[in-house]
Amino acid sequence: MTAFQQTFEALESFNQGFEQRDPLVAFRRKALSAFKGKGLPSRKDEDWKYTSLRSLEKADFNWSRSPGMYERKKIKDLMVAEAFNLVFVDGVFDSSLSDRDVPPGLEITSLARPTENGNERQEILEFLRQFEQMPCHSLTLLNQAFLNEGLWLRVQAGVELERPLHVVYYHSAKPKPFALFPMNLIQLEPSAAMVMTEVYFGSEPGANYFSNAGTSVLLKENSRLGYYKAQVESNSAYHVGVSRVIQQRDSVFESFILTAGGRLSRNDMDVVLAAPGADSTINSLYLSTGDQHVDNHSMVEHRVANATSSQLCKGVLDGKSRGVFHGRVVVGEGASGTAAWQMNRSLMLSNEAEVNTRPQLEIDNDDVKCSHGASVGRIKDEELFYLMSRGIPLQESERMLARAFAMEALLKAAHKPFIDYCLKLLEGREQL
Amino acid sequence: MLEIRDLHARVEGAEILKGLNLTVNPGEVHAIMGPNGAGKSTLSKIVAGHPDYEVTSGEMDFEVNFKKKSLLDLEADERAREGIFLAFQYPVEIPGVPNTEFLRASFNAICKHQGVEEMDPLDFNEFLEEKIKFLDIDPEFLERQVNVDYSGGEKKRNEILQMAVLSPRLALLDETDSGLDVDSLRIVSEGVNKLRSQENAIVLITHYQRILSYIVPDHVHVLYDGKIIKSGDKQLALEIEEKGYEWLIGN
Repeated sequence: MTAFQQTFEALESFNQGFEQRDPLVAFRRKALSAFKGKGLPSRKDEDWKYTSLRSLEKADFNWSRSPGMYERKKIKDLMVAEAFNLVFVDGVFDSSLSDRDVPPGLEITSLARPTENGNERQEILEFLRQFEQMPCHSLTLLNQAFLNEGLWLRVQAGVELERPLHVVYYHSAKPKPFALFPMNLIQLEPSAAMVMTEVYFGSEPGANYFSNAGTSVLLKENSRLGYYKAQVESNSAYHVGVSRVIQQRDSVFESFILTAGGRLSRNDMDVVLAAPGADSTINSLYLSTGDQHVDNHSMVEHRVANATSSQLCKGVLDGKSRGVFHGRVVVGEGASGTAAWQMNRSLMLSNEAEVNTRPQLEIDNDDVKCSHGASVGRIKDEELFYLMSRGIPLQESERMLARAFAMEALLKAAHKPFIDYCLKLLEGREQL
Repeated sequence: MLEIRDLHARVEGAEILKGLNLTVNPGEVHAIMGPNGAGKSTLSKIVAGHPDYEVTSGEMDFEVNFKKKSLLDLEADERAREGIFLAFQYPVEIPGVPNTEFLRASFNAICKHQGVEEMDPLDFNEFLEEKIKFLDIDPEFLERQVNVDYSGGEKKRNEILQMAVLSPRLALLDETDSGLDVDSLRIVSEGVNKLRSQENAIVLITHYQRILSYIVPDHVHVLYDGKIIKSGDKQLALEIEEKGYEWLIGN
């Protein structure tokens, strides 16, 4: 494999520099050797059946450890005045652009700059250990191997953050292809609550980079996290975003992922409902065109009784784009009283676009209320005629109908400012 | 205004209109009656330009301000912008599109074509408020998605609201009266009567005489087997109400 040769060399010398002091070195090395053993996923792998990474394999990426050229104004435009903003440029945390007045009750540590507190590294490792029970493909291993830039976030027990946390990942156009591996670790202590929004933004359409982001979330009893992500990477970029969530008793996870950028995007949303009363909502929308490929993968495990989950994934596909939905809901033997709903809907705007959908329910208990489904369709002729019979031109009618289809998903995002944020980001997009 | 000559048309291979003639002048109200399957709805879809209906021969001209255009050369949206409006028998639900947004897009498309300035959202809302008042429509109705979960009466009122907003030159009302409760029929009819003028024309397609006592027609036609087999004034409608269609069909 040539793809990551340069990055591996850079990583090794980086690791050597910290060997004595940092317990994370061992974690990184373990992940790296596991990755080298497995290699990139191939289409023989059931979870990658419809997504080929061959083009990724051909590129050689430099590990991005310093920001490229950027305009501050462009980044400022992506920030949210009402929120507590954190900014990463080309994978590197930028303290000059980030807000400094950390909301009370929120602890933030940059993974790249450990504090003198030696316990913290151990806490991080302890946190990561809890996720070993979850599915892990080799791109997640790669993200772990490069664990460095990112945040360790903790909301104290009983604290409900008034301001949302907004994280900007701004990606410039460097002369050579680059790779970045941000990782965020989020822990909400009992009865804590937070809204977190993220934007992954590619500044130049042709910028060639690979952003491989990992987010791990541990929600303790009765805590609530709203997690909203908008991905508008450059249309030459690869984006892999893996979110792993463990939910304890009565915790609520409400999420939405918008995918509009990237030549190849893969979202993994894996949730373990580990205690009764936990509730998970994982909605998503993608808008694809040209040669874009968007793969939405999810796994919701109901391990215990009386937990609930709900999922709507919608795609609007134009051009020669490809969409993939593979959603698994696994209801364990002891999971009586589970309520799980899953739906994938795709709207095809062109004859050359293609979607592969695979909603999957695996139930080992009789006392459950589960349903799932999928639909693939085009704009309905009757709806189109109705709009046109009112004088609205063909193209505008089609656009109104596509927008209506997409909005149903976007409006599910419970954090209203995020909806407006997405609409602003997508202004002028044909499908919205 | 509308002149249809020897029109033949088919849908899904079946010939439905078989030599239909109809002339509608400005200021007139025409009622087209006929039994089920006569081709009434086909006629309205053909005039509005539904792509599934194919005209195989004949002429269909539309004249505005002494300029004559063949409707056969125009797509549905172009016909609407010329001033043709069809109130649907079964209004289509458009999930996800708010009624106001739909009305404004439609209004502005027509304004733009007819060289009138488009309205900004605030002015448009004021303009809408007036219209919904006289149609006795709840303002909340405007925020709802187009026709989604509307009652039968609400759907028909929404059609007439669109007609009021767009003020078409030629309005075709396809069985707007069917399925309406007493109050809705009265409100819808009053709405239509308010829009009557010397400049525009209305074609009412109906099964029953009932609506014609609210909206009094100048001409009544009986459509049967794809052709108009009898024309007369409002007396004809009363006769049909009394005797049915059999005496006309000749069975």
